[in-house]
Amino acid sequence: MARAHSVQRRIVSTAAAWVVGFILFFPILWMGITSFKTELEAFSTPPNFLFFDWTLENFAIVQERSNYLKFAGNSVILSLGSTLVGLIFAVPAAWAMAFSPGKRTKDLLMWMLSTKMMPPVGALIPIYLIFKDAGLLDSRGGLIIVLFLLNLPIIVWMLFTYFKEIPGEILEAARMDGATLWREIVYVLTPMAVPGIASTLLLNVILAWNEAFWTLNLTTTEAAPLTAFIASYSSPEGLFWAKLSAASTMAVAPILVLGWFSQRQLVRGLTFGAVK
Amino acid sequence: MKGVNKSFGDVTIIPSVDLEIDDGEFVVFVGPSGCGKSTLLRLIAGLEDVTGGRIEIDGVDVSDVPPAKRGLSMVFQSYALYPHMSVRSNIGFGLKMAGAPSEVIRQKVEKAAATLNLTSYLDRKPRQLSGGQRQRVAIGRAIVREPKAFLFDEPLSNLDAALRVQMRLEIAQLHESLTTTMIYVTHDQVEAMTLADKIVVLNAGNIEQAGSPLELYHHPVNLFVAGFIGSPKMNFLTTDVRATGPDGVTVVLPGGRDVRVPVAAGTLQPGAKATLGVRPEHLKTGQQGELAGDVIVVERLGGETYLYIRPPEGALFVVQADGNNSTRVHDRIAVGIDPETCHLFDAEGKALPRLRRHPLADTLEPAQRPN
Amino acid sequence: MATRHTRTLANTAVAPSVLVLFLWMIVPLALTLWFSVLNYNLLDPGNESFIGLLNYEYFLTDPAFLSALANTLKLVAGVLVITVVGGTLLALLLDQPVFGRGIVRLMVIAPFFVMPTVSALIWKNLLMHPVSGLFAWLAKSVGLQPIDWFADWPLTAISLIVAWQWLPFATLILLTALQSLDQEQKEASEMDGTPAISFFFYIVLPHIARAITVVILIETIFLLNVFAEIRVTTGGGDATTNIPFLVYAQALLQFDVGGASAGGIVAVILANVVAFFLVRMIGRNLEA
Repeated sequence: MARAHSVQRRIVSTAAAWVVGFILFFPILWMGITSFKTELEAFSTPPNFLFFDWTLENFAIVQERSNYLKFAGNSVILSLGSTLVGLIFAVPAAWAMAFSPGKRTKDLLMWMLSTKMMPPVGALIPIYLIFKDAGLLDSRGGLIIVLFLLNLPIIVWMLFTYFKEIPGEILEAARMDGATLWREIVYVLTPMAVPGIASTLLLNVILAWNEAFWTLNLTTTEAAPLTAFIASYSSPEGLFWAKLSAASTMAVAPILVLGWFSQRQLVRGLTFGAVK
Repeated sequence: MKGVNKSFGDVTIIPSVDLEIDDGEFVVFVGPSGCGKSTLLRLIAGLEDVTGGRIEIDGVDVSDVPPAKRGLSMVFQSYALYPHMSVRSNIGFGLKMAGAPSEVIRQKVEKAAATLNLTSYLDRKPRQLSGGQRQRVAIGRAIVREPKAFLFDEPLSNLDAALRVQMRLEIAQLHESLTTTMIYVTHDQVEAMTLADKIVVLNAGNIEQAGSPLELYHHPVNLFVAGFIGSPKMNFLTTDVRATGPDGVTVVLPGGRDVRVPVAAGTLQPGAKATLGVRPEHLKTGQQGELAGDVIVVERLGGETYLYIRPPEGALFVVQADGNNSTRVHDRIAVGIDPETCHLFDAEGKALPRLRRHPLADTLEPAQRPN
Repeated sequence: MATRHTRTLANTAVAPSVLVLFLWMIVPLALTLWFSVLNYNLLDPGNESFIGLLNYEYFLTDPAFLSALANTLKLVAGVLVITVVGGTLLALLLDQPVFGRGIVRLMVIAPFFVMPTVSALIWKNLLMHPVSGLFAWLAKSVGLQPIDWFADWPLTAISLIVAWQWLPFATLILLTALQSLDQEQKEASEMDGTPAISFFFYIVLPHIARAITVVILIETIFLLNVFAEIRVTTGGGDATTNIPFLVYAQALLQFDVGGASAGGIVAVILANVVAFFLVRMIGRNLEA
């Protein structure tokens, strides 16, 4: 509102918003702070907010004793891998649906999205057994396949919406200018679609990174990503809060940054057009 | 260079069209929204497929040839510039696709840019340009490929009024200098009248009439064309036929007076109903007159004045008077009709052929009549 | 040319995705269905036998099933209430002119991007621990007895954690919907002298009603399948096992493939009922 609202009202809203925001954010903040404490310090009461001996030891311990980087590497490979495979399948499909829609295109899209509504437990047992027999349990490849299938509908859907926003006339102009189909895609469509493709990539990397059903059930040691690694802190030995915090902070920080950039994509990707 | 001869059936939009366009002609497709004019253009361009019938360019059947290979250029209503490319790349894109060497491309782009006053904008992106500039880039992109014909799809619709007039002049001059065939689609009959060598009036997918602007103005073949061409619209009055003869058809106007219109009666009989058409600019104000009524609205444009008159019986009609006319609302006036300027239409809306053709209607080469 | 040739090309482009998703849907489901009518235990392989609907009977009459169903519904309902009401209030707040709105948004959105295992463990330990947790300290400083969350109120604890994670989602969606409210409507009602509460109920609420429905339906789909938070905090137990966890426990902890498969099918049926309504709602709004 451009008008001069009472300054008083503005101050009250600002105060309320900041308080609420801070409260919601606090667990993450607290987690971050705790990563820099010693275990003893982390567990002691009353809790110390700022004035303690800040230390980096937890980050080192987490790597030395539990090989944090291996799990982080797995998270990266799984998220990027599954999303890239998804893009390879989805780009042509979304292109076709956006630019040559048929009578059934809308239904097809809805069907694809509906596959996301299947409860994972319905597929858990067969997938587990198939993977076991195929030697895919605890393998990065196997998990990439699962994560890819999980996210494919969203990738197709998001690309579809972005492609639809490209004015058809520009592609027709390219056609009139003598571009073959392939060149139309390379010289005109792709450059215009790059922001959309990047946003889709971003959101789906985040979704894959945080996936915590299949990653917990299909991996043990080799292919386990960060979700599973953190889960191992559920049955800990001795004091572990500081280490847990350090590991968690490292696992979560990159996603928080990426997530900040993908807010709008979130609305687009997960509400399927019902909300603008 | 070419005659485009096409007939096709596309059930929903265009029932069947036969049309020939000569080399170098400036043809305008005009008609109300939804009449199929843009569809026709896109069929010529190859952006849509014909459901039936053939399109030929230079005698060669191009119905199955993709747009890129038809040798045509199109200027879109929304300009359709490539947003991620500079003006230079936009204009040169077609040449690049054709595989021309970069030196040749550079020269041609610069020449086109000079013609269109775009040289200082060559390195900008479309979003940094104004509407008129973008339109010129779109035209530049079309010119540089030296096509066999230019296709324009309502190119001036997105511009404001002043810019529209200016661009209209530029397009007319372009045609003069390039002499390439141009096919132009618009819903604005002023653009059609001012730019065209030949106007094709479309209605619901049918060609109502095709001819030179003055031919359509003086000799419309039916009510639709008569009402579409000319602004303000032609006045239509319901009349009864009193007599027919070799000198014309005499009809009774609302209000009782007679007028003998110099048209061939054909099958029209006395006692039948006919519609008399007369343009506002052909009605004369003065003391005597066959039509009378109360003035209900006066529009003063300075150079001319439009009087909207309600007669005691019949519909409202409009008279164009001199700018100095001092008639006021609620005045009662009479207007005179010159029979030479009247048109008569039968019960189906078809025009009765005039006994004498208007001299200017035939200065240009006669256009082909539709079936 | 343009349209004819692209038709076949278009179909080829879509085919791989469709095929792959179709297999992903059909194969596991068919197998689960098949297993559910077998007596199949991983501890006793090679001795499978067809037993018809017996697995379903056992699963549905097991008291653990009813309790799991109840837990599932309590969890979903609880989280929905918190996130929708909270989300609406937050959206209203964030729609105001606020200094540093961007940063507040960042703080509010953040929890959605934290992986479930991290959320669950941080909440359980650093916040909810009855002795050294932050909540315990807060309680003690105002003279109250600290709550032993996971001993006394485990389902509530989990509901809080899940709600914390999903509140940003609801807020973001509702805020987006809120911001699409025509500025002129607000001004018109101000000229009419409408009090704020009426403005909210008669104008704002109907406008965001669709967004609220979307939030509810989409969240429900995901909430029916809460898993990681349970596994990592309580590892099951009567009070916090929901349907997915029950199936998981039977399959991978008790190795009863047959029984768990029956459970899996039950879960699928439950989800399909919800999906039916969701697809109907969204299909109406799809712009395709």
